[in-house]
Amino acid sequence: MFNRYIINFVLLFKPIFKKFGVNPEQLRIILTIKMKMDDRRPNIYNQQRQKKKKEVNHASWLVMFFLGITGLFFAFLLASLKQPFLAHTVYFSAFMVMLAVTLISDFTNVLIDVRDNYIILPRPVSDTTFTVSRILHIGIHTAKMAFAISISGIIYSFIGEGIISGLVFIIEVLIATTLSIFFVNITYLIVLKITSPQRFKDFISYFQIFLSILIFAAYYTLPRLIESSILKGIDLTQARILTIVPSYWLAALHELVVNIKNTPFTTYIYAFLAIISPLVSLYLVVKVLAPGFNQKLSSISASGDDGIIISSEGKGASKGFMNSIAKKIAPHPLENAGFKITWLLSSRYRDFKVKVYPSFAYVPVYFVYFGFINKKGVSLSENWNNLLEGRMYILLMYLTSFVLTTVLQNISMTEKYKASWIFFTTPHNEPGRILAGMFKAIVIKYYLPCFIAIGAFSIFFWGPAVINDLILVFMVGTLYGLLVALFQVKGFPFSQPPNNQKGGKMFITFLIMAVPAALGFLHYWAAKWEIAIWIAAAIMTVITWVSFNYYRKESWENMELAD
Amino acid sequence: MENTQQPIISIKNLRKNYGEKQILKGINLDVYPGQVIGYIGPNGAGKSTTVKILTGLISDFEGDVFMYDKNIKDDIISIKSQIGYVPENAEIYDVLTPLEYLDFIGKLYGMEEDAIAARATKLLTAFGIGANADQRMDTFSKGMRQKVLLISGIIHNPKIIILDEPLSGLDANAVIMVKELISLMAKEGKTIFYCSHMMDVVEKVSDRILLINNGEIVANGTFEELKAGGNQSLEKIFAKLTGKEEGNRDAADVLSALN
Repeated sequence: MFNRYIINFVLLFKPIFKKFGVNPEQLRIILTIKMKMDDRRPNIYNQQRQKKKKEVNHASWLVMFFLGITGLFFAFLLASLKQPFLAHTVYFSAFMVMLAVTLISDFTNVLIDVRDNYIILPRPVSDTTFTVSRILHIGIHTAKMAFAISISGIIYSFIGEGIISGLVFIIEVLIATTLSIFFVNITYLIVLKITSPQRFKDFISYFQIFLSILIFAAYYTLPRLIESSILKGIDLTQARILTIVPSYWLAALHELVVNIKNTPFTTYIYAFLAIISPLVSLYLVVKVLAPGFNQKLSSISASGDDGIIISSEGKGASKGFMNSIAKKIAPHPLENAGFKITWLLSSRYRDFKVKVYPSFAYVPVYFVYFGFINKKGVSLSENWNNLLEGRMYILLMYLTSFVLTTVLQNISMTEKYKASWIFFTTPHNEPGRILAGMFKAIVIKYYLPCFIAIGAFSIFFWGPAVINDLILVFMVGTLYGLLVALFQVKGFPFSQPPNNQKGGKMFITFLIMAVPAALGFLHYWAAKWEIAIWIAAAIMTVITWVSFNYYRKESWENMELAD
Repeated sequence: MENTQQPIISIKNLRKNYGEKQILKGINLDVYPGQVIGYIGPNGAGKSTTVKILTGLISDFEGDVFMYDKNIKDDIISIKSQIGYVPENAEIYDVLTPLEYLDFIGKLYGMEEDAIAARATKLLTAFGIGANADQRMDTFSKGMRQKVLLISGIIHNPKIIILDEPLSGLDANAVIMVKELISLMAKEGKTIFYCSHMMDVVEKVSDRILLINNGEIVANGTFEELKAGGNQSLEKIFAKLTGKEEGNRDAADVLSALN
């Protein structure tokens, strides 16, 4: 419905389109179908619906809704910061980052969609009509997102700061949107310059991961930051580096118009930069970046890769590293096979990485949330001192088990699960060996590096006395992982379709989680007795080893075969 | 046999390079109304490039291609409206239903909405997927997608139909139906340009077979004419003309590698 209004609005400029040789009727048809497909396209905001295998119908409106909520947060920032210059700088920094990151992570696949070459181009559609439809499609999408993020800010500016401020705010939004598109262009170009077309798609996956982390971190930290005195105490005149940031120029433009009598000369310069920057960026995009960019884009299309060669692993030194570890850690042929296939595929299946990698950020974000900003009315330095004196490091160590369990819960799932037929047609009778190899690969590749990083951090700040805690936590974490593997992972690595979770697992999940929670609580309680922790670590090592050997004996009866 | 009709497609000295690599090395060809042309060749021989030029997907080539006496470089849009194309890689907007997709394609050809709906429904039913007309295609099997792709290539009732591996993924009944359809459309005067690796099908459906190798047409004639050299099947002719007559020896080499 709304799409139709938008298209009707665009087609008000029909005479201009005709003048350029565009067929308006075909333009309407292409835009209609493209926007319909946008509404059905899976994205990071409708994952729950995808999990339930329900049809996605209003995806782009859902994106707008979530961006609108985010924009509301930004508007709170705008309202709560009493210095307008600071408020506008912070607001437009957030606006531009959000818009650019969403554009890259959510819309790049549309930009490099090669299907148009086979579906639209063989039909009687002129190149001009096709190109204009593409530009308009991207323009409409960007405008919808910019509108969603900024609407709360616009309303606040009009009501809270007056009509003039509101009007200037709209101009600021337009400039910020143009600059965001420019930054997206620059990002694409730089990435395409330093990487191959195949790796470009990989880069987009990492950007999606980054966006997930950003949203997750913002959810926990932004409300608290707004309340805190951290932002309120900032003096922009002291932060000279900010003068090179476009949002600072936008704030200067606002300051100039709203507070013209008391404006220093430098503000005029920055306001001028705000006005001139979108024009310069448009010129650079059209004249300098666009020609090479289109060539590069067609090379991505021509590569036609669906994301198989996306990692350097499997080549040279990396492969040697993996092989030598596999030889030492998993010498049994079946374990070795399970180890290597897990190691390699987990680096190469994009859907797995997009789902799992954001969880790696849970550890620092939760730690910052629980350790620092969760306590109201306490300054950051007081929080930090309290942290060093207490035993919060134990919580930090236990948080690392998120990494292990998230990887395990997703390790058997991929969209390309059908390739797993090989596990079922080869003559082996010890599926547990393959699973054991898989488990070892996950521990070595994901859990251990994370644990070493956290361990180094803990030893640095709390001293070597925490080594026994580290050993105990590692063993509890591994045991927790084994329980997850035993009760929740019933398939070979990458052998099940995504979200193949059967019902009734909630209770088991809860029970399994109770084990590390109880052990962690006991650990926290007993932490003052060093020797007790050493003894507990030794006992836990034995229990974990026994459990692992049990897991290694998993039989065919416990293996689930995908449809 | 000399054809007295005007060719519907006329290709003159067609050349195409990708960088230093010559893909097409001067192809000359006349195709007449009602003919089914079987266009075969090994991987990388230049088949897809020829098809992409005929369908207007590649425009930077040397030489001339005429359709209905019009040079495709002069008016590709009006020529495209007379062509139906079924590409090899079954790209489709799979978040749409078949009816939505066919409505989109039909409109790009300038058809009226009611006419598209009526024809699409009939065609979907004829292909045995009428019951799935309102289901999104992301749940479709490869064969079902291929059927929608075939329908999208003929929905505007084109005079020239270019089919690139059209039977890919189809079940046996659908294969029989499509082969029959090709013959009937040719009898109606439509020209079919049929690219495939399935020699037995090409042998059966084609009036004339063109074999391209290394960017050059190395054989051009009816199956009867091609087998005059003593070869009994198109596979044998293919192997001979593409320099792979020693196919049996290759197989023996593979076997010996296992021992």
